[in-house]
Amino acid sequence: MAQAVAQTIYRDLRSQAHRLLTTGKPTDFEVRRLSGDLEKLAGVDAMGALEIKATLAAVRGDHEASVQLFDGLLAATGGEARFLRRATQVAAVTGQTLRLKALYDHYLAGLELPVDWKREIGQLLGFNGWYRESVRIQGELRAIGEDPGTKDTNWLSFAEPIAEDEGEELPGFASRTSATDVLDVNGVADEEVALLFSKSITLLRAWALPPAAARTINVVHEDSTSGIFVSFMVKGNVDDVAEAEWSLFGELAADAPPVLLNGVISIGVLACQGEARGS
Amino acid sequence: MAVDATQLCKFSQTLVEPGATEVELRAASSRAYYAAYHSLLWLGALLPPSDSYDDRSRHIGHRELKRRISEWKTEGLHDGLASLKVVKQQVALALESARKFREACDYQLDESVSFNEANAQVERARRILRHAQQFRDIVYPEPAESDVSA
Repeated sequence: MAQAVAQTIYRDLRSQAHRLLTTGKPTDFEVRRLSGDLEKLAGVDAMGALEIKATLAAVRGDHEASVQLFDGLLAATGGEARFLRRATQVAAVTGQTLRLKALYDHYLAGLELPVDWKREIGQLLGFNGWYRESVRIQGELRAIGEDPGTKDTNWLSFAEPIAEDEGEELPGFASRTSATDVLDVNGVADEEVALLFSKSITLLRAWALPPAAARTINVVHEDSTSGIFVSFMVKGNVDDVAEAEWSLFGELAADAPPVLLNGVISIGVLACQGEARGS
Repeated sequence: MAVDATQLCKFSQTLVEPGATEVELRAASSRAYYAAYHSLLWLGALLPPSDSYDDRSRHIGHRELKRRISEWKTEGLHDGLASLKVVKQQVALALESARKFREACDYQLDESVSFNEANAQVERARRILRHAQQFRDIVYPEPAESDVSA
């Protein structure tokens, strides 16, 4: 009975933390209130409380604290799957692209994961610009007759391991698999792309436009060169989002990343208010 | 001039309406890119060739226009342009994004094109046109009223 109550509290708080993580810019009040509610959970599920605390640190943009908390949690639980999965989701959603890859390399690479988790990690890696590994994972899923997470329009849906009756709007990720070829032909390292994605996702989140998806289109130009067009999909009105895209161009160019300036990768920001996911 | 960039851009806007067919959305996205391209072509013609320009081509193609904007060799053109280093980079990146999406719309019929994507493309083009006009106003300033009356 006590365990059932603890589970209910955990799910409720986790759901609230997830909402704060994926929607707009949460207020300090919302974060503080949820942090206060964690006391109730800590008494009955200390590890669960730690997970939500780590998620809330990421919501506040305190990624150092989030990493420390998640690492402590993973060490204490021997890398328990639900916490590991959550740590990768939080890293990906917040644009901590190097952290996502570090978690993947340390805990997951080379393991036989359940299909749904494997599909998800492929989507997360793609969302963070780790195209080569994402495409490789999708290929493995196809080879065993599993859906790699694409529909006819190359959309992927990201399923979080929360009970289905939670009814949350979860982020979706889209990826096109031929991006690997473009990167190979143009001699682009994975890290260059991941850093570009990290800055894009981080800035959009700071502007209260957290990306819920990234659509990737591989383009072969008329002169036979090739490139990638990535659209970060956010909820917002068209004008605000178009202004955010324009600001993003300015911010990204300030670092002069060759992969962007030489046109191998181009970025867009897409207002998705009112459009059904995957349509 | 029989048609100008602004007309192309306005036409693309008229196509992006709720209920538009995908053919219309693709056409709008394509016209929007060309509106952006033509709005900058005059400036591309004034700017020196990019570092990787192939003299044999003798015209300013899509890639070359983007490169000229990005390299921004405005010395000798107008001093007022030199300070617009952030804006020119925004324009160059927007132009490249618009170009890639235009090519997807025109050549990759198996890729779906959504209303929102077409809308974003038109907005991208509108901002490029706005800044192209800003550049034009600097290079070709309106004569002051006192100059006209004189």
